[in-house]
Amino acid sequence: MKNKHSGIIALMNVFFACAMAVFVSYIVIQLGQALTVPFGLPEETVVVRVLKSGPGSGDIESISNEMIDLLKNSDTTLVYLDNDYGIGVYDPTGYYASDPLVLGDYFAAGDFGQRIASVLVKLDSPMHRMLTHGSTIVNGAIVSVKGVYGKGHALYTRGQSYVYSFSSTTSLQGTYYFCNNSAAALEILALLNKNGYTCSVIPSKQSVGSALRDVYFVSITAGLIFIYFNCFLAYYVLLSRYETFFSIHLRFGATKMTLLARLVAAALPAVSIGSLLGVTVFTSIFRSFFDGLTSSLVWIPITIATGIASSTLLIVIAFFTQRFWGAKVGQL
Amino acid sequence: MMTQLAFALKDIWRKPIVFVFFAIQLTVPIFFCCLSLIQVVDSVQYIRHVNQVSDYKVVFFSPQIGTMRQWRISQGAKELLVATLDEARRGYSVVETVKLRDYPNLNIVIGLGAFVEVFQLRNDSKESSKPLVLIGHDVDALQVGSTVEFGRRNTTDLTVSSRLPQGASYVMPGGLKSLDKSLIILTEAESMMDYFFNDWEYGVQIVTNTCLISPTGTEMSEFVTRMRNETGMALNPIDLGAYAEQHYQGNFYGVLYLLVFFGITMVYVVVGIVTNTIQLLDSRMTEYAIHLLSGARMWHLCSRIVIYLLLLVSLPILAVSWLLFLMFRIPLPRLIGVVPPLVLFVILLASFPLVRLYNTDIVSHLRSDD
Repeated sequence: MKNKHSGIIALMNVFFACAMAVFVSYIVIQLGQALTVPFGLPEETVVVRVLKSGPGSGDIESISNEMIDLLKNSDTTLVYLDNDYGIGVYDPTGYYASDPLVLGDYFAAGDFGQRIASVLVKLDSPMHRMLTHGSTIVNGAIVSVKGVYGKGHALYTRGQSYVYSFSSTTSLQGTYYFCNNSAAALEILALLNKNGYTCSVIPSKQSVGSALRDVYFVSITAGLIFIYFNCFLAYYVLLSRYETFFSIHLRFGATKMTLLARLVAAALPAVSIGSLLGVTVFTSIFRSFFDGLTSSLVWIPITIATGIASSTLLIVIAFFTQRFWGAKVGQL
Repeated sequence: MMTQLAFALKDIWRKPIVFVFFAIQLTVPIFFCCLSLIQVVDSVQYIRHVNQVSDYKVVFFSPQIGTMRQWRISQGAKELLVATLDEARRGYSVVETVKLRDYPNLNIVIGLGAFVEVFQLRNDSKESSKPLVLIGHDVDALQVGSTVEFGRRNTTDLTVSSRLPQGASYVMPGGLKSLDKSLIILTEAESMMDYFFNDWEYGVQIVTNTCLISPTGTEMSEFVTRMRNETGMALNPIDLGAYAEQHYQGNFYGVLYLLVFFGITMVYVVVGIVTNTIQLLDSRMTEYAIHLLSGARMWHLCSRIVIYLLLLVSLPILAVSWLLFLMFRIPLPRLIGVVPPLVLFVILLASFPLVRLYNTDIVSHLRSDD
């Protein structure tokens, strides 16, 4: 194969690998997010979205007290994502007690039963900056700070700045994560319903099908098909330049398979170098983007392998579909 | 030219599926490229502006919605705002819902406190305590020197002192806001309350839109505590930089990710179209030779190829532009602006096949054994 043509194949594969990297990493990110239960909770977690939909008899404090009483009789850990910037937890069994904190201690079991305002604050958040003499201000009120958590903690999110004991919640709307489908969880839903809240149970994990059923996945797949088609077209035109070369070899005893083997052997280094280069460039540009979305790097070898395999397959198809096979085989 | 159009249509008619397939191939990446590009530009502008004001270490406040029913604006709250925004100039705030009686359709932005300094708007003509009026670059209803009546309780006539350069804007947590089509009134919190006395709506807006500049932990604590006591609002401070990083930087990489993909798709589609056009040329060489011998000129053959490509490209580009114009509420007459890039794109696509056509001895194809 001519050096010029090897260069063209390598260049095409740089772009081809980048496109493949988008496709594969998109699937990995979507599946990773869909198949992971948030906050490091177990698979049997029940997720409920709660909205105020009508008038109710009880105030927030009395309802939350009733909820705490129901939770006390079970071993259910509750994580509550409010609609502001906090995360409420009810965790007397210490589900998150072993997670590392930057400073201070996790809540004691007794903190979850009392309406005493104490919080964990996120490192470098404004709540952390307002920390003086062991207290900060949350929702305009002074609260004592038990500890400071960072990125390594299971309750760390980009949007929330503090974690508080659910017993001191000032709101009931938001998303509830019950670590198991206990009777207490069902009773809490009934209690919320009775008080004018609408509870909708949502799956803690999505199915693979629903995770990939979005407009971007469909359009990326369509884009990839277009890339495959046009890549095939380019290979087809490139190989058509070798008509005389193939004819001479066929006349002197070569077979189609030996020609194909030679062609693949000649093209493979260019395909591999192009794919490696494409994935390397892509990964270095989007490294910070992936840091926040997936820790798995499994997509990198998958992309390189898929890129090389599919590009080689296209070369093989382009080879077999050349017009000059047939009547003119072996003729000069 | 009509003859060449007829020939180009004949070329399409011979392989309509190929034509339609390439048209679809163009439509998808052009649409997503444009959409991603618009979002990338938005994100870049927002991040750039946040970086410009990053030295100020701006902190904004998110009010806790649950306390909304208790909100009030007391005298103490007004004093705190005056002290923070006007006297110490430790922050800025914005009121965006005021309307002027004489210009009800004009977008009004009232900037308070250190708004001018943070967003580097011109302030050289502010001499008196009267509010300063500036107009955005694209405002036609008013000119420099025009007079507007401002206020509800007390009113005053204000003269537009200058026009802002194009692209002037300010940053709010919700996004970058352009001042190009706005009338900007720069005043002080105290004057604002004087002009719109007891107007609860504007008072709440001033508090909720207040951003503090490089506040210490103590300053934030004091502001939040006093606001809780004076207004009933439970404010939670949020770093503008961290917010921008979370919302816009993530978005920026997300759309850049798609832009790269559809950009690559676009490159491959262009390569495909050029390859397809060259194959079309190769299969029509005998026909071209007969045309040349029958009196046609080279430019006739070239125009046939250009028309073919124009028909192939114009439909997807116009369809995508029309859709995007509807999505972003851009007046449809501006579709005319799409014509120059369309022509450039056709020239780009046609250049390689045309060079090949010029370099081919077309008549020799009549002597071919094929």
